[in-house]
Amino acid sequence: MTVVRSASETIFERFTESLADLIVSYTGSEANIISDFSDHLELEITSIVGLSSEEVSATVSLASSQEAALSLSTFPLACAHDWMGELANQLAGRLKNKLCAYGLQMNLSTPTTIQGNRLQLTSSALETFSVNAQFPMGGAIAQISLNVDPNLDLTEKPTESSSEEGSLELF
Amino acid sequence: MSSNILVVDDSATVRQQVGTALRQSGFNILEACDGLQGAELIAKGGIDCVICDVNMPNMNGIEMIRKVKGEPGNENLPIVMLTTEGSKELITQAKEAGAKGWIVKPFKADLLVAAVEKLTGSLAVS
Repeated sequence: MTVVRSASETIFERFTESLADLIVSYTGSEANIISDFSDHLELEITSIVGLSSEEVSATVSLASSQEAALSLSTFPLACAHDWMGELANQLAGRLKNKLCAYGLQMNLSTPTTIQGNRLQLTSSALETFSVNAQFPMGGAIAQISLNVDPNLDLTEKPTESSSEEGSLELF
Repeated sequence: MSSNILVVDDSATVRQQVGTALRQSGFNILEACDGLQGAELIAKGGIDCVICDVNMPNMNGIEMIRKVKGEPGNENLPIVMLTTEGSKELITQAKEAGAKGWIVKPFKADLLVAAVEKLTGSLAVS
């Protein structure tokens, strides 16, 4: 029996995969990702990136402690504020690239980063999906809020693809 | 003589990462935080290769390529995009604008160095 997924569900799945890929690329090990909007994480910094197309508008946010954000790097960093923006950028970028396979061409905004104490991410009126990722040096909350054209049907198109992360192409 | 590489990215951390990888291989590094600043530095001359992000405020990477390639003397300046973007459509736009390469973040330092060495026609001076 074929399971029919909504466009939103498909986007949420790809979002979770994108977060998992991000964590693996910077820690070398898989994160424990759960669909739990846990409030026990100390969130000190969050960065937000927008994605938009004719059919979908989305906001991707990534939040963690400063220490956890800095741990997600392959070399020593001093500025969590800037790096968090780049992490959110890479998370949204990975999602955008995965959605290319469904023929969705989305535009990315530049990231906006906020620092504070005990930040709280709350859901909005849009469809919202949050996941909690645990990795060696801490954890992070990743959230995506969606506004999807109700007529959008996402089907993978084998001819549509994007370049892989880390790839180099010289023209 | 070491080649001068301009790194254009709105993320100071990415500029730092790229700069470190290339300095370790003997390249001189200049930095710009957006396409507008990048174009201004290129106009001053002396740049041998550019590593450039796509999504940036003020002027994005593809707009910057179109601007600098429209100016005399930059016809052969190699510009490589370093970005989270991977869509074929965007890569085609960059190629048509005059980009010489495309790297999808996160980058591998050895690939980046090899690409810059090839495009500048230099072996690393350590």
